[in-house]
Amino acid sequence: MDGLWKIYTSRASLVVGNQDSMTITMESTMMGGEKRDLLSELPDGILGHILSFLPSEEAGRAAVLSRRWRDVFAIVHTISFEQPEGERELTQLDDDEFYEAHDMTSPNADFTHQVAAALLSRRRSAGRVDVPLRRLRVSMFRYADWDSVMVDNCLNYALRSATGDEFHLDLRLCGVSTCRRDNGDGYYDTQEEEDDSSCDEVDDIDGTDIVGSNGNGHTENYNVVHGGWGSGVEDGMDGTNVVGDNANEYNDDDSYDEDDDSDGTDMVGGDGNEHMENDNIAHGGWGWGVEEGIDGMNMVGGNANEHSENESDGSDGPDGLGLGWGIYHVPRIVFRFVALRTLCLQIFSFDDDAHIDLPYLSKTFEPWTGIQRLISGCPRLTDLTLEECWTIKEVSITDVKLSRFALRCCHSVVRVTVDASEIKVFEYRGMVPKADSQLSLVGSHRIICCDIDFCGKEPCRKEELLSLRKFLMAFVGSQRLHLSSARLGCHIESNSFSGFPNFYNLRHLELKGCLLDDLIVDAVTKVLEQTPNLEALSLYMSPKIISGNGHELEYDTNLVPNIPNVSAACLQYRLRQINLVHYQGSVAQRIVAKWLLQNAAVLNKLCVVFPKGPLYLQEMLIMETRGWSMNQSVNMLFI
Amino acid sequence: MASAGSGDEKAAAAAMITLISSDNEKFEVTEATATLSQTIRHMIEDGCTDGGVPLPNVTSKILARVIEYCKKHATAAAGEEGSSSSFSDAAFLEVDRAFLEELEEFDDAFLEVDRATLFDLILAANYLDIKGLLNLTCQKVADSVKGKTPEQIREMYNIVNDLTPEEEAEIRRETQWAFE
Repeated sequence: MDGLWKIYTSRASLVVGNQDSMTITMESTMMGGEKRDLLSELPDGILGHILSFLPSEEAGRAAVLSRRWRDVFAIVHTISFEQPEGERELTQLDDDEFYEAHDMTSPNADFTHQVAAALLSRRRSAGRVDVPLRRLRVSMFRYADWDSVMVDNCLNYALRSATGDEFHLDLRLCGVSTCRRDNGDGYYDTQEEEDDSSCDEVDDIDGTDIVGSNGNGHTENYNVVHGGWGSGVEDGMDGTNVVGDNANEYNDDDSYDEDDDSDGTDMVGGDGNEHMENDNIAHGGWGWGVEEGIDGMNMVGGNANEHSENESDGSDGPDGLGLGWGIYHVPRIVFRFVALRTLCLQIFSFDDDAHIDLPYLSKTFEPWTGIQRLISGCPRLTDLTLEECWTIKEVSITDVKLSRFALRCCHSVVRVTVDASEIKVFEYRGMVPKADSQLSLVGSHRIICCDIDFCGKEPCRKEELLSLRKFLMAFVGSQRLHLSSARLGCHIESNSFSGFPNFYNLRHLELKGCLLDDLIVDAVTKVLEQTPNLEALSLYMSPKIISGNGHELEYDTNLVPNIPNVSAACLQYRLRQINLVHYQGSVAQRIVAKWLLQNAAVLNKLCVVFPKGPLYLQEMLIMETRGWSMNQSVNMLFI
Repeated sequence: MASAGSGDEKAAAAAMITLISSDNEKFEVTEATATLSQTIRHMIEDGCTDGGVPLPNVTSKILARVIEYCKKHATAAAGEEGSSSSFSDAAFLEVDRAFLEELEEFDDAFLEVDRATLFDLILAANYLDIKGLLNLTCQKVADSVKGKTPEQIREMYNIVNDLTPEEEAEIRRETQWAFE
């Protein structure tokens, strides 16, 4: 009992409630077993509602509480499952064992069966009351092709139970984001295995020949992916080369080591090769013995190569089919689901055939027709998330009025047209759209909150910067803008960038990326000049150095930051809050911080979050920062 | 009733509604506040609120709290409605956003009640059909049982296990998927 109370009282927010409930329990114990079970006295509908807030496993377990609870699961309106990450570890353990078992079951079988059983269990006892299912939320850790039948089944059950007038579908088939294209912060939270390649990337940015090195590397990678899909639509820059390369590597494992060597000498190849290596590892591990960084894209690329180029290489056997990365094809039943309000799909493909299709067959149909139909078949859709749906090339969302739209890592889109007149929240992750038509948001002036994350290579060529500007123009009406890119500021200071658009309404700005050199100070000043009404600014500074002694702080006492002699209107009149996250104390960061603090006249809140590092460095940085503040009444918080 | 004319300092648009609790206490609220409750909204639409709305299922203590909640949230709802069409929604939403944070704090504080009150609030929210309040309170109960074993939940809420061991075994078999 004591233990239980400890658990219960550990929640700070519940303090008052706890004391009270403690007295209730004490009273009832004193009364000698005459305890009142208020919870079970609640009507069915409410119990179902309460259980709907829990993960479905827990809701299902409630059936054994007492007779009263036996059939309550039938009236929950939300089924929610998340595959624990641990289950993946299990599948990684033992490749041999897995080989033996692989043609019998999927490593996800337990999970998919669990979801299906829950849906069935809900229907089984639903005889007495028929409560429509309102929401299905399933998040798988890693979907494989052979799960498709089970996922189909689950969707079928779910949609049949969804007889109400609204339904929210949230299907994520891969627990981690699989997009390989990091931006600068990518390696900040990834595993050690990835550090090598990511550090190279940063070096590349540092290096003089930005266009050459980093640019090429990423383009190659892009084409690998593309080649993988067998669609070969794009610009075909060096796509063929790369695919060939990759195939070679695959055939000959020795070349794999050679690549490693070439890293140091040849920057251009460096990045691309890194990715290819991953491809190879992926093959070796059959898609399971791979660490997180290796992701769907590369896998798919690899897999398809296998089919298209090396038919003889055992790829026609079941290994090639089943163990590769799964792409789920949305079954037809979803297509005309009028009640659908929210749709969140990750790693999906749309086609007219509901049976399993292999990626290399994708030439034979036009994948975009599927999503197009789905959208026109669901007129009440208001919230659409498309994440890593690599088959989508062209889609026009003009029949429905979305209020939220997210397009994340759908790297093969060629033309997306969206009626954005009702959209309030927009999220994008991907490359800077090359042309207006690649992503056109019609009437986007209503967008209030906007999250843009450029992954892949940094825009730095003239035409790219032009399209970047054009792209940003779509969001000038927004009030909150999150802008992430490898380099904080996106080369806005560069001469070829013709000026950051004027964001008149912007109140909150979040910039995320690496602050590498003092050029970026220009970028930040240029951005702030264009946001006259900005009230809160957050800079998320991705780490540049991972120093050998385990911390990320630095402080050069000899260096006095020289700040540019410019100011911005928002600093003088509006900006009240500044957050500096992951402030390492590098020269560029100190310049930006000093400039902001010495110019911010109406600032009242400053929050600095340091990375881990020795206290004495932190204290020196704190002292310095305090000294810069123009206004002594600023509420400063150092974490 | 006596309440009918007392809204004179308010604008004519802010019509007042009288709610009568089970113990006959009268509460006077604006229409905007009252219509957060779908039940009352329907009554207003049907024009049967003259002379007060009797709420025989809600005690004055609980009704006072429910009204407190509705008053706070009615302002927020008004903000949302106003912003959806007006051109200057920019400034409005910013105010709204600060307000939303405040609202969250309010909700947290609002939930700091004893368990009996919490259940009464759930019942009242259900009866009055106030979606936000129902979600808020049910979420709180769900959070309290989250991650607990059935035994812990029984102990926490004084649930008497009236299942025979055979029945319990059967249920565990039926819902095996939940116990894996």
